[in-house]
Amino acid sequence: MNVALAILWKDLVSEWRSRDRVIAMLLFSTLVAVVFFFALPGLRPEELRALTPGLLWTAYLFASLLGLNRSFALELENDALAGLALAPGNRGWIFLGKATANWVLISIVQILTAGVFALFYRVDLSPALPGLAAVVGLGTVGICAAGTLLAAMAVRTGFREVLLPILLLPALFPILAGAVEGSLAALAGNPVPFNALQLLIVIDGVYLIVAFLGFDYVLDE
Amino acid sequence: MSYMLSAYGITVGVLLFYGLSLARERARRLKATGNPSAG
Amino acid sequence: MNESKPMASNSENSIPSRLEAQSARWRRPLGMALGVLCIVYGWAVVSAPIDSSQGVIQKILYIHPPLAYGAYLGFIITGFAGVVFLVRGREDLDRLAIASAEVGVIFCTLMLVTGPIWARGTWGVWWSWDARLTVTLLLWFVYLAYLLLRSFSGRNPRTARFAAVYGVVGLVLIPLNYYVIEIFGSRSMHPENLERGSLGDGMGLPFLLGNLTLALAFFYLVLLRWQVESERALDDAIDTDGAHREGQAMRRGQSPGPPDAAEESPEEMTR
Repeated sequence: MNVALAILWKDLVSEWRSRDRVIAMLLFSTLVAVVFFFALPGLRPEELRALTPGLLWTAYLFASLLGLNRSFALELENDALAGLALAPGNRGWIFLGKATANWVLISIVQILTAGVFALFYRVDLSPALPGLAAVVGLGTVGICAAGTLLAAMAVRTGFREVLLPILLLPALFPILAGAVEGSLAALAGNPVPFNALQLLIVIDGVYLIVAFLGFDYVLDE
Repeated sequence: MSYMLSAYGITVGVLLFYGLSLARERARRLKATGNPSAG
Repeated sequence: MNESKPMASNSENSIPSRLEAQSARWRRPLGMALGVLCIVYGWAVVSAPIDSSQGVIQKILYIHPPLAYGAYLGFIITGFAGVVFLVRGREDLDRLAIASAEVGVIFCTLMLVTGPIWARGTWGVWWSWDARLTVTLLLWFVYLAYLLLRSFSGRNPRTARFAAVYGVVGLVLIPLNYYVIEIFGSRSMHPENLERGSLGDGMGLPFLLGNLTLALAFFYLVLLRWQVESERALDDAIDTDGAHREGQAMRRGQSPGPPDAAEESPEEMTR
C-alpha cells in the first residue's frame, strides 16, 4: 500500500516539475476538437450539440492513449523498470500507484478539454456537471486500469506506440458505450441512467482486479 | 446461388489451405532429417 | 549442459510434453472421422430443401453459425491455457494457446466473411451493427491484437507471459461486450429462429452435421497446429543448444566442430 502511495506521489511530483505530459495531452485534445470542426462542416449548432458526448469521448480516448504511452516511457529511458520490479511486496500495488497517477493526470486534461469543447461548440455544461463528472470519472478508472497494464506490456515490445492502441482500444469499447450513453443523458439534463453507471462500475471492477493480479507477470524480470 | 457457393467455397478453401500448409511444414521437416521432431 | 531430452515425453516441460504426445495420438482418428463427416455433410447440404422465402442462400445457415464454435471456443481455450501457463509454467499449454489463437482467428475471419455474404444475399446490406456481428468483430480485433503482440515481441518467455495476460483481458472482454450490446440495444437483423425447434423441416440434419463437422475440423486443426508448434519449439531448443555448443568450443579455443550440431540425432544430444 505504501508502495502505491510512493509511486503515486513520485509520478505526480515528476509531472508537476515538467508538466510535459499534461500539456501535450491538452494540446492534442484541443487539436482534435479543431479537427472535428473541419471534419464535420455545415452542422447546425443543435446537431453539433447532439454529437458532443461522442466527440468529447473520442478526444478523451486519444488523449489517454497519448498519456498512457508515456507513463512508462520515463522508466524505460532511465532503465528503472528493473528497479521497479524489485520493490517489496505485491507488484499489484505498483500498478495501483501508476494507474492512480494516470487517472489524476488524465482527469485534469479531461476537465480542461471539456472546457475547450464548451467553448468551441457553445455547449453549456453547467447543468450537466455532476452527472458528467461521475460518468467521466468512472470511465477513466477503467481506461487507466486496462491502459496502465497494457502500457506496461507495450513499452517492452517493439512498435510500442502502435501496439498500445491496438491492444487497448478493443478493451475500451464497452467503457465507451457506457460512458457515451451516460454523458448523453447528463448533457440532456436528465439523470444518468443507472444501467450505464452499473456497467461502468462492473467494468472498472473487473479491469482493476485483472490488472492488479496480472501486473505481477508483466513486470516480472 | 453464387453467394452461397462463394461462402462455402471460401470456408472450405481457407480451412483446407491452412491444414495443408501445416502438413507441408511437417512433411518438410520429416524429409530433411528423417525425424519428425528435429530440424 | 543439455538438459532437454527431446524424445522423452515423460515430463511436463519436455518438448513434446506428455500432454502433447497424448493429444497427438488423437489427431489421426479425428482426421479420418472428419474426412468421412465432410462427405456426409456435403451430401446433406446439397440435398437439403430450399427455403421458400430466402432461396438457396439460406443454406449458408449450415456453415455460418457452426463457425462460431471455432471462433469463440478458440479464444476461450487460448485464454484458459494462458492462465495455466502463467500460474503453473506449463509451456506446452502456451503452445496450445498459440495454436488455438491461430485457428480461432481463421474461424472468426470466416464468420465475418460468410456473415456479410449471407446478409447481402438476404437483407441487401453487407453489414449491420447488430449484437452478434458486432461482438464477433470485436472478438476478431482482440484476436488480431493478441497475435500482433506475439509477433511484435518475438519468440521468448516474456512474450508468452504478456500474451497470456492479454488473453485474460480478451477472455473477460467477450461476455462484457455481449452484456454491453444487450443493454444498449441492438438493431438486430439476425434471424432469431436458429433454435432447433423452429428450424424448418429437413433442416435439422444438415444443421447438426454442419455443427459437428466444423467442430471436428476446429479440433483437428488445433491439434495439428499444436503439434507443429511443439516441433518448432524443439527446433529452437536444438538450435540454441547448437549455438551454445559452438560458443563453448570457441571459448575453449577449439574449432567449433561440426557446424550443424542440430543434425545430430536427438539421442546423441542427450549425452
